[in-house]
Amino acid sequence: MSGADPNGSGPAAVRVSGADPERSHPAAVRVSGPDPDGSSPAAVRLEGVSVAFGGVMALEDVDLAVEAGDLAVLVGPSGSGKSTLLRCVNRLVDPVRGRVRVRGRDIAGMEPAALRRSIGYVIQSVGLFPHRTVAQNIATVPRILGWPKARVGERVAALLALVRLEPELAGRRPAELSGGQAQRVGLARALAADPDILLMDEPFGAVDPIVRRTLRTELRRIHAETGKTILLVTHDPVEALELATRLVVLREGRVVAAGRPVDLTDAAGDAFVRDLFGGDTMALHRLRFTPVSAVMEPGLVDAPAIAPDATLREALARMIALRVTRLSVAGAAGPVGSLALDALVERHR
Amino acid sequence: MAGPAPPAAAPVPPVLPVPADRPPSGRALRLTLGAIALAGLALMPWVTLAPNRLLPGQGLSALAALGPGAWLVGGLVAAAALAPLAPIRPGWRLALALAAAAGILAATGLCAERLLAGRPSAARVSLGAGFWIAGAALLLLALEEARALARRGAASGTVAAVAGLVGLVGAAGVLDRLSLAVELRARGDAVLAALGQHLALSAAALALALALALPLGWAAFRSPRAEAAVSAALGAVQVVPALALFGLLIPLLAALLRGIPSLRDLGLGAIGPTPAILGVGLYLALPLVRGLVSGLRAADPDAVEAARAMGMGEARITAEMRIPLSLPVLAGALRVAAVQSIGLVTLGGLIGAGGLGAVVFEGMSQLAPDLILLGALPIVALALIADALLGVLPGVASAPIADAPLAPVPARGAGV
Repeated sequence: MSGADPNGSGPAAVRVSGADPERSHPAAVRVSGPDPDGSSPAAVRLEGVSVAFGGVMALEDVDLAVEAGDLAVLVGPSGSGKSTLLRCVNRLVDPVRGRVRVRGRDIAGMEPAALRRSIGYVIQSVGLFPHRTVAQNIATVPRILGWPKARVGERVAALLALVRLEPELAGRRPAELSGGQAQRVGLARALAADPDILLMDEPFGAVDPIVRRTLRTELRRIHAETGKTILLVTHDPVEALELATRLVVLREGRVVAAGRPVDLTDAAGDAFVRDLFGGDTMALHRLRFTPVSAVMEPGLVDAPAIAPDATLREALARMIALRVTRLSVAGAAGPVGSLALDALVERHR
Repeated sequence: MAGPAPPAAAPVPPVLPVPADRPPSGRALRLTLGAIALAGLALMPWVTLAPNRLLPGQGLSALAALGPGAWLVGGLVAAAALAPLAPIRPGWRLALALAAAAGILAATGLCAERLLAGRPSAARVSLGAGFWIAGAALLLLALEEARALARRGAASGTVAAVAGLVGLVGAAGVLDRLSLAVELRARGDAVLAALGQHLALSAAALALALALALPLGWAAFRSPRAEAAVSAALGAVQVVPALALFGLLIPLLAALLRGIPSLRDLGLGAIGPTPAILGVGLYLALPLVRGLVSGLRAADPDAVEAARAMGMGEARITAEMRIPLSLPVLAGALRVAAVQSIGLVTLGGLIGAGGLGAVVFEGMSQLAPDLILLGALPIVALALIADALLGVLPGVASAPIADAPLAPVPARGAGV
């Protein structure tokens, strides 16, 4: 799966209808992807979904399709309805209007418990069971599904390895874990029964910035390794840009824009979206979407080196830190070209 | 103030040297208990010498009662009292406190023999205020030292050791001439029967309370309206004094039994055990309901949310999360209720329910202090034993964090 590719080179996936085409970049609102009744349905599709809590609309007329293998990040300010949208997918919230399809099936007619067992779910506070060991926590859904004990044990060991936790932690209680370890256990628990869809609600909200950065990298790795369809909620635009293969921007219960990160951060885009991603400094965020190899020039120079698969963001940071305007691009096999500051500025996407 | 100016406040030197290995917490308490034990020994009447079991007697100081032995006993008590200052291990301090307690008991038993020599057989030597104060202070001191050991079971072990010492000294015949022992010999069978009744009454009341609390607590947990109603009803019961509640129950039960006479065949009565068990059970329902509700709420809402999101139904969430997480809290409430039950059932003695309360109230009506003690001491002992036994429960439920073996993955994972 190419799902972890931050450049979003996968199939066009997030479909938004009903959004104002003048406010969004044309590429952001792409009416494509298979038909709802087609042979390969979207992993998750919302059609005209509205949710009300005591008369207050939390979501209004949301259309959204997330293709299999996407890492779709729902981003927006607090109260924009992003968590509510997520909770519609496993029926923790039922819409007042509209339809939610998971793997092509309308979930309104499905038994909530069975639906939830087929979808992984990770929340900010993790919600590990305090009286159960790490292994028992991870084994929750397989046990409910009645897997044989030996298979559950193998699965737990494999998941601990996947989220890079020491096997010795299996017998610990959640109270004995660090925040980062607890988050990893939460992720392993959500993945235990091998669901093809994973919902993550602010999964890194409660850990410190350094752990957070590590966990983001890990999530991208796990997404690439497993090819799961992931819907992740965050209020942090930088986190969203770093993780997303598809970005969905919400505001006051409506989808404002959806599409590839590189398209949504175009300077000509929607004013709210531009504000969300840093206003005038948004261009700096965009540097992460282009690899050095895409803009480098052939000639070799005597200058500090950078890898061809590093992003322009890393290249610029390196130039600033070393006070140089030119870098030598060197892969494992030696120098392959050079990168100049003016080329970086002129030729990034 | 007209007096001379107080001297300038000098820096106060630390009163006690602080040992480096252990925080000094609790030492002031232990020193105070030691001082109380010494004061009881030195200042209060140690025993009372009376012509018979009902007439008030004459108080004798420890020196007068124990003779030269008073100095030996005094030395033991002083050593135990000053032990917290000495740089010795807590285990030795505990042993000293126990030795002092055994010392005063044995010495007092032996002195009764001497004091009664040449007196009429009706004469009695009763334990005086000084003995009780010094004994209680030494017992508490021993418990505090046991706590300083910071070892699981140290406190219950100490209680068992004290009980063993009393039993040993008593079995050796040393205590036979004390008035309490004479009274026990005369009334032993009745007291033993009352003890059995007391236990049965307490257990029945506790069972009734539990039978009430489980459904009510569950209803209160599920619905705020039910919680308000249950709280109000059981709270109203708490406001009524126990004796008044018994009094109210008697005519109510009498009316009920007149209406449905067949209930009498089930062993129900308007006086006796029925109103006592009913009244005490009603009292105990409130702490149990509270314990159950707060226990059921002890489950972390995020963990419950996560469980629901993983496809657990309400029944499974209750069975696998709410109940296991509520057990420690419920066990704590059960412990409190059991101790209260043993105490409250005492009042049943006044309405013909029997039990140790009946012994106490008989002693009161006869103005026989030893008979009162014969009823009261077992009640205290029962309460302490119940507390110690049930105190193990919450520990069992919450302890395994430290004990959990870090077993290899497959074994733990497979053992779900």
